[in-house]
Amino acid sequence: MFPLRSELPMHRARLVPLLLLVGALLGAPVAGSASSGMVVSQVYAGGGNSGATFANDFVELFNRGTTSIDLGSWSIQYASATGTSWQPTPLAGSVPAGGYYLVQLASAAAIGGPLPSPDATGTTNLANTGGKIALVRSTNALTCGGAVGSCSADPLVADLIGYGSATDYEGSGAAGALSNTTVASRASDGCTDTDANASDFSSASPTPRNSATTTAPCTGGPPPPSGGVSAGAGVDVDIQSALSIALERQNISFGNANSGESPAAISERVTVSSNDAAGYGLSVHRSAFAPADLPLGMTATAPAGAQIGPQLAGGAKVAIPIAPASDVLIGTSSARSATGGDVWPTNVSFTAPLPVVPPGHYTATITYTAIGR
Amino acid sequence: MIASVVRVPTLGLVLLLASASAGASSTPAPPVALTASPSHLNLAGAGRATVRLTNAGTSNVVVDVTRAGFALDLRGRPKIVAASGQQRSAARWLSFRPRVVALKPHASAGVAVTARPPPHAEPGDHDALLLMTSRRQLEVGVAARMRLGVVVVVRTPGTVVRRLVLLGLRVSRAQRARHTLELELGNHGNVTETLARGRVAVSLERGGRRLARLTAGPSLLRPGTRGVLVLPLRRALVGPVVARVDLGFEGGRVRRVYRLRL
Repeated sequence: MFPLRSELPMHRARLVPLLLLVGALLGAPVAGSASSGMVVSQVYAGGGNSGATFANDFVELFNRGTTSIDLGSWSIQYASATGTSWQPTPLAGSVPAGGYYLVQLASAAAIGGPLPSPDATGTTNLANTGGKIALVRSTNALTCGGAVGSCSADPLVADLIGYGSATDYEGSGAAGALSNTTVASRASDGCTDTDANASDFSSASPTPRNSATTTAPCTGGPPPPSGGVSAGAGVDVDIQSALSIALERQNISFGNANSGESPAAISERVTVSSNDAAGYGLSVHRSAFAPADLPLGMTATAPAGAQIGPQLAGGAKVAIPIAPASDVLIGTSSARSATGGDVWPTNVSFTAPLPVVPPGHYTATITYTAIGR
Repeated sequence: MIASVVRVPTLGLVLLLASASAGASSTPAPPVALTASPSHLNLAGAGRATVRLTNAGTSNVVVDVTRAGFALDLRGRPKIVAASGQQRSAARWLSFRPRVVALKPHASAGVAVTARPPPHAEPGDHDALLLMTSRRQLEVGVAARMRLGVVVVVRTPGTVVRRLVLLGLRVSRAQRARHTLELELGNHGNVTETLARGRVAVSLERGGRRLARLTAGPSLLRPGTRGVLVLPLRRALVGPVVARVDLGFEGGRVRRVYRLRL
């Protein structure tokens, strides 16, 4: 496989996604989409049905961030409760901080009132009993959704709501099913986003808002409880990708040895940490021994979830190449590191008995290289 | 030139170091551990960015900063190549300061990276590597040292061309293991294409009935290169099949039908 690398080296996120990232680093399961300021704030699927409040289905979006967001290459997409075939509706224009954006969708019949002037229109027919709506930074149809967390793993998915009997959603459960007179409505007029559909959304009467609606920035926090005083503060943080390498020892000494002997292998565990889902590659080379070269080699095994390099597969011992020859690939990882880093056990030894060389002190340098992808 | 030392690692480093220490509770901290953040840089044309280097170990370390070319092999494994060793190398456009960084334990320092593409550089993405290598500490035995490679992508201005092509689909028959399908792609555009998990799907059919649907993991293909996606078969299938390949990417969608014998 060739690796995925984020297009953005730096990701602006709110505090909750930061906590989720910490959780991910600690191995906690998380189903949450890459956070952005833009979220789905209302979903209505009863358009034109018997007794419907409105004649069309709609999806309302909200910018809960602090800067305007350009939706020029974005789409909203719908898949059925259990499906993985998505129907994109392209979006256009930009949404200011605290602004709403209304996407009008299919109508079953001329039953119910007209929506406010939509900002985008599509022909997708939403189901009341269950479905999935994704806000995507692309107009290409998704293929995820068969399992919980599958769509959230796609970095192009800015937000996801699974409702009713949906097979994919954010958090530990889907939002409730819809009806001809109720919507799934994000709490606090769209400001609440804890990446948990079941608690972020609740059933409410439909109140579609479009770009003409007065903006409602989220910086004010919830209203104070009666008899008390409270204040809200927006919190955000920039999380950078990082790559780390650590060695078990700085010096590998084989002690005293004679020509014809094969000194015992010495362990050198290499720990690599990466918080980038694209992973990394780990390789090795060495300098020639001075005053004369000796046949240095190694074996290695891969940590769980990583792939051993082809030359080292099956426990094979390989000669460590001498620069400027290309490195030997120890292995690759295509995911974030495990908690505490990925530990690559390597054993440094000789590929043949020590040759007949003049007595003396022989030294070389072995270099382990980690490259982010 | 030796960099000045500061003691405030960025949040990314804090998270990574916290992660590392969590797993090392039963073992002492390593003598030297290096962290670079960010782990890759994207620069739009002539641009400048900083890579922060941190010594998370218990010993002082001196780090040499150099540049090199970067490539991926057919299966996406990273390779260090000569600065002029590939068509779209940006290595010669990069300058950086300082070239030597001395770090006390738990200290960090910034390496400023500047890209200066030539005026008539081909539009699109160009790659390079910033290499940071610890110096050997002792003149005895076999010294072990560490090197971190930060991938730098420079996108030069001009028309962005996105074009992925399917070059072939074949069956790889491994002894005592399930067959795998190998899908070869070519990036004929001028920017790196990222394929999120599930963007490449292969449906295997016989007599109009779907036998299996295989999807590829996340992948990345640099401009002007080829790559092979490996799609393992999760159950034993034999005989002739029709393979329908569906590839979705930012530049569009490519579909193609192959006939295979498993």
